Amino acid sequence: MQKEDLKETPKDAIKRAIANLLRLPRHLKSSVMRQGAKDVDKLKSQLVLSNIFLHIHSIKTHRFSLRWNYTFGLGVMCIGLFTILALSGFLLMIYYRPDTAQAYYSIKDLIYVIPSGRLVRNIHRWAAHLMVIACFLHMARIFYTSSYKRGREFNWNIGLVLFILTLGLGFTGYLLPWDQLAYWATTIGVNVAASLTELTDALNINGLFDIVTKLKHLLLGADQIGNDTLVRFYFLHCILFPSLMTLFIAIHIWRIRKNGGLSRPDSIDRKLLKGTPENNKVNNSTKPGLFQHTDDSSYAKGKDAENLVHSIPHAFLKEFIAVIFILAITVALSCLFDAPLKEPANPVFPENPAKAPWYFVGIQELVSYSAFMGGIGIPIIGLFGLALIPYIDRDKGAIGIWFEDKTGIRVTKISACYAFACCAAMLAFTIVFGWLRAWFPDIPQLLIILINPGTILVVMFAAWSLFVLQKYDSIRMGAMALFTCFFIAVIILTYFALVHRGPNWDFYWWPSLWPKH
Amino acid sequence: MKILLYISSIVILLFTGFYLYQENIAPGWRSHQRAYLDKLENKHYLEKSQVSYSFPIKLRQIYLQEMNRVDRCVSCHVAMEDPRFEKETNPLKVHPGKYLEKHDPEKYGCTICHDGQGRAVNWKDAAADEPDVYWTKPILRKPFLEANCYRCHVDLLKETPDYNLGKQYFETSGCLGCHKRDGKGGFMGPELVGIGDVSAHIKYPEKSFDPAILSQLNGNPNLAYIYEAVRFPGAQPEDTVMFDFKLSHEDTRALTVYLKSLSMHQTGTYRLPLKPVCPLQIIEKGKKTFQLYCTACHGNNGRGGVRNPNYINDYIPRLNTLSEQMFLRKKKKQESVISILDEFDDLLEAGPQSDISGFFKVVAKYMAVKNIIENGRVAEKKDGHGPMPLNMPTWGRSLSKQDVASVIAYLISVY
Repeated sequence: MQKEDLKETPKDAIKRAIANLLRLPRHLKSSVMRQGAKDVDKLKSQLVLSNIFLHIHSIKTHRFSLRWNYTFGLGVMCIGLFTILALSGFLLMIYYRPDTAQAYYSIKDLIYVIPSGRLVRNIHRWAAHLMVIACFLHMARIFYTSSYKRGREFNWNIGLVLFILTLGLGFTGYLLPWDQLAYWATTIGVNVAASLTELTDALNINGLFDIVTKLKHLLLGADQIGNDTLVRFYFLHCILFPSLMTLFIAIHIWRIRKNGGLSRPDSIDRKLLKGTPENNKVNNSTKPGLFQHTDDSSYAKGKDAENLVHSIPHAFLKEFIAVIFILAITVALSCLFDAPLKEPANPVFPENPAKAPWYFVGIQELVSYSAFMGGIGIPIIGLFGLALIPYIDRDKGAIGIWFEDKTGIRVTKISACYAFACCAAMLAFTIVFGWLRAWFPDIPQLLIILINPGTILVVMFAAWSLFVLQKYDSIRMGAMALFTCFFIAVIILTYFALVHRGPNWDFYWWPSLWPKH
Repeated sequence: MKILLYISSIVILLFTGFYLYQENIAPGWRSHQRAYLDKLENKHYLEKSQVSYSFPIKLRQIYLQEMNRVDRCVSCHVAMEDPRFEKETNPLKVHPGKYLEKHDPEKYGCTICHDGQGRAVNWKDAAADEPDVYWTKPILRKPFLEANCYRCHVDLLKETPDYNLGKQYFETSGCLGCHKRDGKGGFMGPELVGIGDVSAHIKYPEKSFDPAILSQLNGNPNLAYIYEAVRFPGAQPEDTVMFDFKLSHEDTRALTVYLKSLSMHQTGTYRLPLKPVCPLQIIEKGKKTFQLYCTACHGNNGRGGVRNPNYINDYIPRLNTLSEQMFLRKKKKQESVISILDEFDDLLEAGPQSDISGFFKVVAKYMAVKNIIENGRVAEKKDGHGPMPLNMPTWGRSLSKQDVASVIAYLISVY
């Protein structure tokens, strides 16, 4: 390489300087990357190996896992959004003051006079919303492609922890602007968490051990949301949760890497691979990773080497595209729609309806039936169900294929229809006829905790899942039915509570129909 | 797939570029300050060479630390204290009137009188008076601006006719019979302390107002909330027990100005002390107290005539016959009882009075009246299953012994 340079280099010093100036980008790149610019496999490998960030990937990536319609880049988008959130969060932290008297006005200043403050705040808000959606879809992707099998069981649970942390970050961040929206959404959220009292009240054991008040004090630092709460939430939002998030993302990715990259099917139809990069140097790189540069041929055995392609550029480019794509969506949304900022928080005048952050309104809908079951019981049942999926479903089915096979597609479709019908019927019934308390005013609360629309939905879904499990004699199918029901129920309840619930949590077809006086 | 990369990149660059330009380079205050400079130059107030450094274009603000107020209004209203700009148009216009002579903007800022969002640097957000956007303090215009004078001033000012009228109306109509002000008053209606800070945001459940009302109140929804509550009590909420006083628009407007001034907003050391007033005669004091607390139900001068729904006698009792009931038909007898009340605040404590004939009958009746005022009375229902009629509230806690004595003295005197 140096010889080449010498040959081209003119003897005149000025010309040499100009020539070097022109070559600056190339030289700069090679000096930063510690490699030459030549397109040599060995150099590509070394580049990945010697860079801590790039070496999150292995040197070569399996082409089966590079299909767009397989992953949709959702996991990468989650990490991209987390990075966007961290960076915009740093900028916001510089101006934000965690004090009830000043928090609101620091946001106002951010909007009005701090250069680009409004944009940064909008980006932070939109990225947070998108991250919740991306995490949810990512989880669905992992489930429907059976990617929690073969050594990835625990990683599924780490993913769940990441999902909970995402919700926690969203929830704690919601309070910080200290406006009416923030204050009352957080109040609702905290009340949902404190709904354990309904059970302890019903069992009449409050006098023995008042755990709810203790937990509430721990979270709020006081009886009500106030300055102590704001400082606590600020700490959780800016320090504890992001650190945990970083830690768990590291574990999540490290485990993926140790499992040999993204999950993928054992074999695949040629047609499905259309558009993925080909390994056109099969002859000289049938060995995985760096071993291609050795003479030992034994390493290649069983590694599916002919389907491995270099991570540079194939994997990195795809990930880059996914990140830039989600950044474009975030920026476009941020420029078009401002993040809301209502009036300063006023503990005396509640918002009506006061709704939790949108990713919790589904739970709020369940809480309106029974505080304990909706706020604690059913979410915990759901989380345990999700956590146990990889340990119950240990069938040796195909992995890395959407819905496994035609039966899977059928089961998913029917389950979706079933879940939709169940939810719609249950909601309609509750709205039209009311529930037990309306018919028997003296009914014990314990009975309502046990029997309410939420628990009945859970029982219906469980029964359906067992039926599918027996019919197809496959745990995988049963799990698929249950997960689909859960997925559809979350979407329907969230939509319903967001759009059709008005003042006093009454039903309205549309917010414009809310009562006049 | 690379096409996605290119499209995304272009979207990011275009959107951020446009947004950053709009936010940082294009804002209106820059052009207003530039226009100010141009005018200075065109009118030869300044030499061309002086212009650039005598008045740099920058964001300007008045920071009042004590009240956590930042008023950036002066970023656009740069000519506010420049008398040469008398005939210009806003924002490059001098402040009208001579108010700034006594109210130094550096010391008081702008929003303390005008309300609005001092932190905003564009007119739309600074005025904050769009009816569909519920800021806490939309900008105030005449005559509602008068309310803010009383954040610091305590005594009546001659510059605020609407406020003065509203205050007089308030204090002679017995509003405190149901509402509390400064901790004193009835309990039927909501407290009025802080009603001036009220935001239409709390109007439940629909936050909209009649456009006709809004247009009379400069489109300020927070004022509309007060106005509507006073003039059309049934509008919000429907089951209110507040009387419809059939007020005219002018009276309601004056009352709205007065109620707007009942703010909890702290002005700290800016608040001026109350000028001392000479103590009133007992009858005048009694009249004032009666007008503050009782007029709404018992009528002007105790003449009665106010309906009480589902009450056995239909009407709230009239009180201008109290002397007759207390066996005090003679003027002289009335005067001596009033003078005893003035001296001792109580007939019983004064001891037996030989110059008043039938003294103990008078005292017995007096005790009964005093008992009703201090401890209230439950009104008997006409229809046993009907709604609750208005009851006589208990005034023993709100009114002092002297207040009760003065009210009785006043009622004796109106016979």
